[in-house]
Amino acid sequence: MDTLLALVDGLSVAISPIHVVYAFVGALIGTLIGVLPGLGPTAGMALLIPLSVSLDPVSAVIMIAAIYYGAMYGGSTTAILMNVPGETSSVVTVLDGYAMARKGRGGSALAIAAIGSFAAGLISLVLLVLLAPLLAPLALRFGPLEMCALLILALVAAVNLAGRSLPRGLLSCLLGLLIATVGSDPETAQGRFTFGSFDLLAGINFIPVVVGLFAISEVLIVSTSGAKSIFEGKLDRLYPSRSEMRRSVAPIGRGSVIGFVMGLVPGLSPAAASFTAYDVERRLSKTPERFGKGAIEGVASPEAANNSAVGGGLVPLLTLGIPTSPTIAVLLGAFLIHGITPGPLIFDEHPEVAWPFIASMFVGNVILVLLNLPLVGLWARIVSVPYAVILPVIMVVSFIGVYSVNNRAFDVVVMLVFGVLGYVMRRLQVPLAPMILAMVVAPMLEASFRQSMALGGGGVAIFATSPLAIGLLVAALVLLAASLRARRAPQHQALLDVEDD
Amino acid sequence: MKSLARSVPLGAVTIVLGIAAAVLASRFPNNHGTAVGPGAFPMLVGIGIALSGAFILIEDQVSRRKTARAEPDADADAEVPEAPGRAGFPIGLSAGIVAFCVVSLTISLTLSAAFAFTACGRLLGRFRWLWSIVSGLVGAAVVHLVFRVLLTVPLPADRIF
Repeated sequence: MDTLLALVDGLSVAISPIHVVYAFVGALIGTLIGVLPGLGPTAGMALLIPLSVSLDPVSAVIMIAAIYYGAMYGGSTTAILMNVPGETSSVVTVLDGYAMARKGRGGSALAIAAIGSFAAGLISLVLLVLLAPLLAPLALRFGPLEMCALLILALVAAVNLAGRSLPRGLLSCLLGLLIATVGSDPETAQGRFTFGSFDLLAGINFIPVVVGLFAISEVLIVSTSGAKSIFEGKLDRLYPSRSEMRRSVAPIGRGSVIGFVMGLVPGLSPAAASFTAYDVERRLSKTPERFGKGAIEGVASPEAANNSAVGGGLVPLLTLGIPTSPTIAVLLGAFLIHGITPGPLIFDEHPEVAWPFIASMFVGNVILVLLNLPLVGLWARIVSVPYAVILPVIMVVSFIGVYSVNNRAFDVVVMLVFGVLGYVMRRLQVPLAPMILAMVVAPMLEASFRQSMALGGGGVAIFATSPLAIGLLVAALVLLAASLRARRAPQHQALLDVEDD
Repeated sequence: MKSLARSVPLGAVTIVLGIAAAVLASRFPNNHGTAVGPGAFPMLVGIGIALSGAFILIEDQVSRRKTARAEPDADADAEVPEAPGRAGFPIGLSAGIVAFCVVSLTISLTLSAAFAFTACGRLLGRFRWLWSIVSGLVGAAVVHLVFRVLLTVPLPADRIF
């Protein structure tokens, strides 16, 4: 009851006109940041934190948080319409969102992404308020063994995103892990695969890789397709039909729960949550062959998951002071520069900031959906703009997005190399998505693997000492076996052969 | 069941890449005496890559046999179709994208944007020269105003504008 009263108090502060304005400004800036490839929520929030110093703490954290979820939504807009994910968690939205856009249903995809994000934001917030005290200790149980096992499970789920060939999915995933090891070793500073290059010593930045793989390869692919625009014809409905809405309800619910739970785990980014939600949805579907070709569930579930992961990630932050992702770490920074330390005491020492901050997420999600739903028609018409105009826009925005992160020409070179690699991979039917997730989780996976090995004196038997780790590894094996079996089934093969034709 | 595009060369290249990565990783010194050195993880990944290459070859052989049994005359190596007359286009376009980036980094992003919009309008959209040049000028002006003037995004130094 006390929690509810505190939340109501917080809401009364969050809906004051000045705080609504800050939430609106944050959501708008965040959407713009998300739309630009390269300028993801972490970079965007980090850039704008210095500007929030002059604000009072409540206004500052409300605005910074609004930038976060605004960027999460904005990233899906370009993912759906141009096959250019604005940030990592939008990578999986590309699979069905862009396919829908190519069929003239980009408006429906955008609308369901907005509705899914809104619903997930609300669900995760309710879960945050209700379950935070119960779930926070669970996150602490994740030591290196459990973390390593969990990340292996996440990678197996990513490999399952491979179309008809599991080895090709495995290859994509392992290439992502290998690319992430380039640069100096985080523990010993030993250079790895640098071949004497000073630029490579700093590692291969994630953003040029993702922009190259998706945006530049897309430019090369469409140049050979002969198509005049992403969609040639009359645009279909701009908003989802009743049937599409009905089919999206359960995926949004499932995606919200998966996103919230995965958001609780330190190190697992919203991208991992959206990948897992997509995989779960495809497995549960009676018509999995529609996925990747414009299934609305393939947009609804991952979009809900990545938004819900934001709420999940706030549980360890607010109750333990642990940032679960780089973006949450930046949010932690926003609290700290205003003299507020998130942790077990925040609700006692700073209730005037903590509760309005939580309540503002209700307000922010409403603003986001009100801001974006009316713009669906405008955004959706982008798919009819000729490639002759869209392609140079993609090139220019990709170049600016990649260069502006670190002001390094080397990142542009990386983008070009991965653009060609992405083109070759797509021609050879090697999926791109597993590579991206592998790159994201690789540093965590390697660190937890090495810590586990150190605990076990160099032997893998140490994993047997953790029932949770064993359970997660068994789940990964079961998932892999089920995937192999499903691919051997005659009806699955027939479907994939039709897909190829 | 069909074989996928160019499985044999892909599998072979993958095996070579995996072995090379594993061998290179095995040579990373472990000067700190930790239980697992800096080479252990990449070596495992390299071995995994080599194995995935082998799996690709095995998968290809299995699918070829199945296809041969089902359709003796079928051509197993399925290719991704390409629009007629555009096979060499990606190479030209890749060169164009590289040129765009080089000019943007060394001379002027505004200038390279103008060229990019003009060239795409003319070559991809088959616009008339006049419209291609107009689209180039408008595109360059928008890029300059939005990113350099309004948003003040950090960009390479512009040596012309």
